[in-house]
Amino acid sequence: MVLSISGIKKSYKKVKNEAVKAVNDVSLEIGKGELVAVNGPSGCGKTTLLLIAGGLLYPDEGEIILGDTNLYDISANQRDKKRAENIGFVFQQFYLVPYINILENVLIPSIGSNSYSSSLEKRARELIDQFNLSHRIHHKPGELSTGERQRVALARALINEPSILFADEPTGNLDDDNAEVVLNYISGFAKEGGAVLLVTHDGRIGKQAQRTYKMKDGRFINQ
Amino acid sequence: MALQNDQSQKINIWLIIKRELKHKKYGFITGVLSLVIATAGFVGSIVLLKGDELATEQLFIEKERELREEMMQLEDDYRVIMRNMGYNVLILNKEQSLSELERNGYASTYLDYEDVWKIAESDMKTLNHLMPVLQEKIYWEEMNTEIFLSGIRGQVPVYSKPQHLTDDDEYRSPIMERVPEGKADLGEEVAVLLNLRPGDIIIVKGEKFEVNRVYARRGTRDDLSVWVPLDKAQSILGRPGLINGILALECVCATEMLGQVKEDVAAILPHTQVFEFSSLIAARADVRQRASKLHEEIIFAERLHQMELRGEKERLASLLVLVLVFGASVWIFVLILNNIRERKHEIGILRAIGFRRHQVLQIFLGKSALMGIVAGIIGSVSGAWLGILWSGIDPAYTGFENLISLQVIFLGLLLAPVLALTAGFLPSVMAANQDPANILSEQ
Repeated sequence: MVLSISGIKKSYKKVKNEAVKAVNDVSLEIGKGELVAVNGPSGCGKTTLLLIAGGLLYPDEGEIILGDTNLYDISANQRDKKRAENIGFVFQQFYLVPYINILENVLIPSIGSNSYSSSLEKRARELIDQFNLSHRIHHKPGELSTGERQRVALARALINEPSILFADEPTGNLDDDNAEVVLNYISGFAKEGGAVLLVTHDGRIGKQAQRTYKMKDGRFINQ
Repeated sequence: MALQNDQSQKINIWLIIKRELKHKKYGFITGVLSLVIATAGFVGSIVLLKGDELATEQLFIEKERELREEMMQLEDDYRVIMRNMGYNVLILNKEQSLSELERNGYASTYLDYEDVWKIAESDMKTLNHLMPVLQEKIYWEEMNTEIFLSGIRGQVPVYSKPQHLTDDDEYRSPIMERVPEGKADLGEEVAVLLNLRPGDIIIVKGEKFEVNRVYARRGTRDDLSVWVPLDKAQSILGRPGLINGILALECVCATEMLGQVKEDVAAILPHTQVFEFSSLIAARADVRQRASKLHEEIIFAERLHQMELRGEKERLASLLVLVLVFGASVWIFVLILNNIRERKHEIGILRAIGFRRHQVLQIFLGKSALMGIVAGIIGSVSGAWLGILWSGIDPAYTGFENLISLQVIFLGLLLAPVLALTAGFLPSVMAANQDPANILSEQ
């Protein structure tokens, strides 16, 4: 098992101290080679679940086991390290660093994990080549199309060879063709033994997933 | 990472800082500029104040030199006056009747010429400016008139006062000059009566002299005097090796020391008596004291005035530096804060992909430090240069090290980075503490 989520609850306090249950008692497990999709409308708690699963947001209850580590039983620094070494993130907005080129963007996680090496740079070049971005290697993100940017973001997520990839609406800003390309890469990662947790409101994406959970009001409704 | 030409460079925090600075040149330049102004203001004002201090000191040296010259002139004037009034101490043979001296105008008893050297070579410090004199009233057959013939040799060097002497044992500022060999000085009455001018030849009892100079009227018996070299007078008067008085000037402010003078002279020349003119001594001491006091008062008042001016300038400079430092700090704070706001999502994703808090802190503090280092160098150099330029002081003349110390340069180099890091610290901590979950959930 790569990731085990059990009994996760998370509430936000909104106006007049009224709590909003963003995630309400959610559990799931993802193994090697699995692509699991969580599908649901905006505001149903998908992103909150993904941030909690990725070690970025403390849950009110429940636990996240990544490999053999409970993510919220370790220190913040250890969690940062774990995230740098084992988790890849892809977001709808790409969040590329605008003032460095594509190769540097792909390599940037190596600063957090302190893992830069010439072999890592070689891997970065291979990923860039694999994602058909070789001709863009010295370009800045602003010079790329949206599809290309998302592929760069995907290459960045994969540079440290994570055991699991978290993707939050990865095709939300892409046209159908580019969306298909990106989804193919993501499912390719799963086929090669990686685990993927993909959250989206786009029902079409679930076709490539081994399992799809529908989420509403912080709960899986088809579990 | 200079990846052009496919050359790789290790990606690290400094590369991120460098790339971001290149990307946002305007913010970096304005940040550096504000720190340069603060640093240059700090270094420049210190250099300016130092320059001002040097200029003031130079002014004082000049003023003191002028006053010293005025004082020396006053001393010379005083000596001339004293000379015109006569010496204030006259050493006579003990047997000399003072009433006869008053009546005749010269002493009729004699001392050995060697007596004056006994005083001069002693360690007696109460007398100055010794002058042996042989003076008698004679009938000048060649001119058919009576004159006072005075034989003088100028001042005998007092060896216990070497500061007044040249290497040749001559007085630096003699109060009465020698009569050159073969020459004679005349009192005005003699010159007018006999229609004599400098350059004329006169014969005194068979001795030939050229008139050296004619003294202006003094209203004393000096007007009826002829001064010739002592040895010539001794020869003319038939008194070889003899003198009939030693004129002496007392030491500074010696009015209360007259008794001591008499004792000192008696110890060396027991066969003599000291005849003194106390009112002249008092006048002399008073003049000197007044002049000295006036000199001190002028210098003191000027120093006080300059100290007040300097205090005002220092206060103004401190205020200016304070304003500049405060302004630069606020500007850096705003710049970094704005930078953080613009880079919020970047910080979020960096944290999500594993950047630690201290690494985010390094990115922002590193930028501040770099800004400070660049500004420190530019600000220190430009501040020193402007300070020197505006002070109007030529460092080639005063020496750079007197105008600007290494400590000031060091402080200038330190000020900008410290300022940048201090002002940038709080916003940098805010950046490092941003919750990536909050940022990333905004999408």
